[in-house]
Amino acid sequence: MIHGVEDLRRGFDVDADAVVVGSGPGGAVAAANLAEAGLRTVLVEAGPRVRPEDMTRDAPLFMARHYWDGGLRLVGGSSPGPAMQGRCLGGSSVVNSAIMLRLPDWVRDAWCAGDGLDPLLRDPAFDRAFDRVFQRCRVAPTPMAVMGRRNLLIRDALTHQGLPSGPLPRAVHACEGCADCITGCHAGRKQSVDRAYVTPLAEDGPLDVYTCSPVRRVLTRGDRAVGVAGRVVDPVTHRALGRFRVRAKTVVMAAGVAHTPLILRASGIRGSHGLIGATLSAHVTAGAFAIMDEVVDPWVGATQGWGAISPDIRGLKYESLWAAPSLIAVNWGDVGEPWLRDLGEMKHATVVALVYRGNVTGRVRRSPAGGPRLTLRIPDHDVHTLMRGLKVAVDGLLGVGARYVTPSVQGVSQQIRSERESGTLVSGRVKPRQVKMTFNHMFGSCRVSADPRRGPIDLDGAVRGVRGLYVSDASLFPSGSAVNPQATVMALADVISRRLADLGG
Amino acid sequence: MASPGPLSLTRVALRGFAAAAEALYPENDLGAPDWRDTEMVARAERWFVALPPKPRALLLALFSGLELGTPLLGRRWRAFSRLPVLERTALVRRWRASSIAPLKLLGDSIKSATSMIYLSHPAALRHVGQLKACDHVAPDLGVPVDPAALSSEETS
Repeated sequence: MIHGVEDLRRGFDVDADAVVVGSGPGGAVAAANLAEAGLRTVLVEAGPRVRPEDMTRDAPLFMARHYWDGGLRLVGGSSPGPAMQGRCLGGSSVVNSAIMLRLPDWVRDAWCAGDGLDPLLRDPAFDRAFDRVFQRCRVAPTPMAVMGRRNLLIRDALTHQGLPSGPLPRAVHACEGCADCITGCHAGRKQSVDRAYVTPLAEDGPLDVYTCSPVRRVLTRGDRAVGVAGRVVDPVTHRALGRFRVRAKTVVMAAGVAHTPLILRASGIRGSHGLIGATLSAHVTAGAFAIMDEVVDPWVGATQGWGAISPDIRGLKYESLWAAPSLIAVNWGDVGEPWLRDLGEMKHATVVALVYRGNVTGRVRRSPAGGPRLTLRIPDHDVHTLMRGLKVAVDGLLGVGARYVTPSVQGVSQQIRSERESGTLVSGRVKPRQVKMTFNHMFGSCRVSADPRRGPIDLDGAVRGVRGLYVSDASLFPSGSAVNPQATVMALADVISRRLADLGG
Repeated sequence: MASPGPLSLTRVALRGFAAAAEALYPENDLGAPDWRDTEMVARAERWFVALPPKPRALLLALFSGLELGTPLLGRRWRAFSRLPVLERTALVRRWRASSIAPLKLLGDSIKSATSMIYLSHPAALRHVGQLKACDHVAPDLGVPVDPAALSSEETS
């Protein structure tokens, strides 16, 4: 059963075999496996359930209700920027572009070499987990029928630069190409984890789901986790309602990179060597907005249908991109009448986004207001590498006829019209603060490692020093995954929860 | 929703927002809808109400700071809303281009927040030429909001 706020105003107090905190990609997979194994499983989610009929194309209003901090969460540090994380049943899988890529072998090798993860990642169960996840989420390459001109122009630009590229594999069945994944899939075609994992088991099966119930702390007795507690919150008024408590001998934390460490630390759990929340990583990002002579109608076609993994710069990925105009144009161009005039150009636009693994470090702390305070330090050389990739993309767009290209970099020309002008991107003088970044891929705030000095989580996903307490989200990653993290989060969650439930691989 | 008093933070912030909206999305001969056509102030109020308390407080602080802080930030001895429209536009443009990080953040935040509201109105989307690629478009403004959510923040 899925309980909404209308059932929960007075709070609740329940017993279970296992409680999973957070219903995003990691939590949903873990909860489904535990429930399917016959354990009485409770899934608690901070946000509300959102169905297609609850969605609105008004992006600010949608985000106000279904994103953490209303979509206005800021990450501080070298390049302050937003982190857009879903706060609803299904978590960010409801609002992302559903790109599903396997963990590259070289990243797997690096994680094994650096953190001794061989027993976890070299186990054939890890590869089988990807297979299971891909099958359940109906992952398939984006069909050409819904590419739209915008994605095809990115294909042409990447081809122009000699980059091998292809349709991005996504967890969408029969995508209609609305180009607006960020306000949820109004057509109900995205196979977000609420749809692929939670709802079938909760409506017709053994999983008990409590929405609008942000967990504040893990309950412990001695060295053992015995449950979780918090207060129900009205998703419309944001007012705290009744208290809740779930008692369970197994607690799985999957509240995301920001909230998992925050809840653990608020519960007095700091992990081996105080590492919980003390490590944070993220992909660095950049983008470019190209204006073509032709009418592109960028709002037609899959949000992120085409991409490439750079063969020259390890850890760099190119993706086509679109979002609601109210988001894509927030920083674009001038103000006043010149900007209103430029809006006429939008139908000629295509956008490329770059994601680079880099060597970002950071941490999660508790802000004075009680929420997470995220900071990231981005080395200059990461930005220089990113700029090399951006120049390739900009030159590719110019090569296929872009009238001009606006990079997401301040202090350089905002209308690049030639390869000579794009050379300013690789002058070596661009600093992290100049690049407008969005941090939607963050990791590593509770790292898994064979070495307790490097990570507070052991190879079973268990928090060292607290029996019965596990982590199952992107917090586990030792470093960046170099590709969109959702599939790896789900595969790790699958392996960890199947071991927990003794389901076998 | 109870009408906010003339000195309330919400009222001051909405005055600042309206002044910015008028400056950044002015009446024009380009065929683009202006700030009134896109109901920016009413929709901003609805957005503020829908936001969780922390980002709501930040936005209210941003726009009330804009309204009341112009003497300090822009060296103009009047409230932002009392400045001529073109002067307001020029101020925001200058802040966005500033090398002083807090001023730049102020300018970019004003531009971002107001652009989000402007460009999520159907008239603005029609103007930019957005097509309906999907038949499953939900009704506009389908998110329920609590009309009393701001009432506890009134100061008068």
